Amino acid sequence: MPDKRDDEKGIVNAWPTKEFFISMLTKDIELTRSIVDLVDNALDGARRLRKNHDYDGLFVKIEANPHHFKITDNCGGIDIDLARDYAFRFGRTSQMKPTAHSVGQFGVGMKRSLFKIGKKFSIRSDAPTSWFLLNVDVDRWKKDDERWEFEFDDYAEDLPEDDDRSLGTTLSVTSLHASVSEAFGDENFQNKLAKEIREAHTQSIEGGLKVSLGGVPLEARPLLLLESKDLKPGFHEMSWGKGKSEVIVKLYAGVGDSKPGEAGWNIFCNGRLVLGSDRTSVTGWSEGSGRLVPQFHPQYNRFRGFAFLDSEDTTALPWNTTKTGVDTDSPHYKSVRIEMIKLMRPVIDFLNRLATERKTEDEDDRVLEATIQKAKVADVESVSVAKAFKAPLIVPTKPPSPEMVRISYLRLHKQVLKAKKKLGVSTSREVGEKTFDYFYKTECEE
Amino acid sequence: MAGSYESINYALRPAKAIERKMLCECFRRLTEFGALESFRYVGFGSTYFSDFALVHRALGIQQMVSIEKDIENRQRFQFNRPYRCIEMKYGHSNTVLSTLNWNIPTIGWFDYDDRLDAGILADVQYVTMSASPVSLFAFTVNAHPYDYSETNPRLPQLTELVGEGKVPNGTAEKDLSGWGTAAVSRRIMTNEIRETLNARNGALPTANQILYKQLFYFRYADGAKMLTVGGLLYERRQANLVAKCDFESLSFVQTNSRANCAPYSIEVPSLTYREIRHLDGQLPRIRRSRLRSPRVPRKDLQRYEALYRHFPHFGELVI
Repeated sequence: MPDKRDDEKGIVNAWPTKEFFISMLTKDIELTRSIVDLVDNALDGARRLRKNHDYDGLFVKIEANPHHFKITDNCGGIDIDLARDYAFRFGRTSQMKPTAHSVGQFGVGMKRSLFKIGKKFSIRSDAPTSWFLLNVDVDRWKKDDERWEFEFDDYAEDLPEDDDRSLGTTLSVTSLHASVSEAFGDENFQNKLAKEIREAHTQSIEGGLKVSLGGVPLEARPLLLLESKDLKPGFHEMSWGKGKSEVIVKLYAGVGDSKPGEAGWNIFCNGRLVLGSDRTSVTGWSEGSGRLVPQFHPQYNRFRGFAFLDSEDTTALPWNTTKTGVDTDSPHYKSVRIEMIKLMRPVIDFLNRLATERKTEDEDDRVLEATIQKAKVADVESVSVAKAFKAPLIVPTKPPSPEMVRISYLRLHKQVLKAKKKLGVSTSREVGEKTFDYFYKTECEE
Repeated sequence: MAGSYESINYALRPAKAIERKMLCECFRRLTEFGALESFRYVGFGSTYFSDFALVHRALGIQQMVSIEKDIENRQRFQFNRPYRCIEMKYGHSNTVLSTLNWNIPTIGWFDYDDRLDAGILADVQYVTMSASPVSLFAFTVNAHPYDYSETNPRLPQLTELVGEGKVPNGTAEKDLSGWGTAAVSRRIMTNEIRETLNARNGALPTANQILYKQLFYFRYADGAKMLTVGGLLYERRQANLVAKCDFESLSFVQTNSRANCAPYSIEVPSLTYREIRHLDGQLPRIRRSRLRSPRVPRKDLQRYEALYRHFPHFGELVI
């Protein structure tokens, strides 16, 4: 290393290396999640385009095969100024104009995903008055830790709005990492990816957005609750903050079909599922050492909870950077969680009673079971609700189960044989039982 | 499981009777927040309903809910209700509490027979997360030291009952003898209230945040050592009204809720009826005068003076 100039000797180098950024960023996200993140970006475009959240006519097409990855949308494109100053920065600067109700919050999503998938990527985006093409060879870019900029390969700006380009973004990645290439060729991975995209974006798909994977359209996973005159999900609404930072929370807790995979709480932030079918203490399970809310158990397979948190200002929402969970330390989330616990408690009681009923009542007398059978499924958006979960308050008779204790001991074989004969029984167990009963009758009964 | 009502007549436990009257006197101070009749009383009436009878007679409260876990003997409880306005709710308090409407300002006295455990803490938590301001609560638990032997020390027994995360850091075996179990139990319950309120307040505007003001830290022993902890849940903007209630002027109220705060001990002096009448004639005492009664120990005189307004009068009655 060359000798330092005198005026540099007091300086400590704290510059980040690109290698560090790339490895840190890509480590804490799963491959499937990084692709869901790219759908988030497209969706933010859709949100800019359609303030009413009606996405009819918009699409996101994803192709993921062992050779290349491609995601194409017609959701408005990335404006060249946005691309130049913000979209590729690591982290979002405070000067950036936020997209109302966006799902991309932290300014890491797109880069992280691209780095995660492969070593060469290309972006072509057509916005109303500009377009650009950007090709990046990550290995080459990585070599120079001083220069962090990318360079457009081609671009045009200040274009008339009415030229007939179709607006949107195409993002493709080649030179896939070996493990990614392998995963993309694996059918189970494709299934998992389809499931995660479907779940994460079910609200947008319901809003008309056409999302496809490998040419196969992905359908929304409907969010269903059982409802009838006697059975109504509990509902609670709360909010905090003012103006753009106001967060509106809607909570639903009730019962659905008995599906092990779907039981639990689902938390959506701005329409994006961040926590699905959760049965951990994050959503209140096992609260109060399991006395306030029990630990999850298959008995609660019918439990369904939905939490929708919405805000114009994405940063006001309590979710984590990978959008795979909530920020459990957030005071706001703690407060929401309290309300979730209050809403789920009566549902748990109902499911406990339902389980007891199944054990103790004849099929014809199972009133709670009948209530469930009579109920109809309804989408969470249109379901009729009550302040607290409503269900028949019938308490089934408890099964008669006095506490039993096992006694075991050893006695001489000869003596036991003699006792067997005297008692007229054939097993040692019966000898134990009869002799105990004999003692109890004479000495203990009042 | 049989309740303690089968072995003891609640009405004959003098310290408990005194506590009941003290609590009731404190409840009365809530008039600053509106008519007492608008409050609801929730408790464990058992078969005697002593607290219910007192609260109804003294405060005029009509919305009353008694939680009873002894489901098998429903008819007996129904039969013993002293007033028609007492609504019975059968089941364990862990399940019943969540079925109540918590938008009603509530006065609650949860008088458990048991030692503090996870189930009781769950009730403390549920009430704290649900009660609408202003509400007033007292929780009574058995705080007798756990049976001790060298192979069966007390700390693991406490940990087993309340759960590992709940025992205050630094609690040692020696802290659990005598009234130590009561002090530690109070801390655990207070921590539960504070933690729950922190979470509850997370999304509330400052003026509407819920605060806890400890009012009760009683200890007494009619037999086993008992502990009562409780206080007021109110919104920050109601602080003026809370001040007007002037709870501090009640000698038995303990608003200091720090870890090492002092309890109010209800110690019942042993006096004859004649002595009681004699002492009552000298009370309330004029400053610097001394209570006198032949050969009654000074300590008992002091105890009586502290309790005389709430002192129970037992006697045989020919009906």
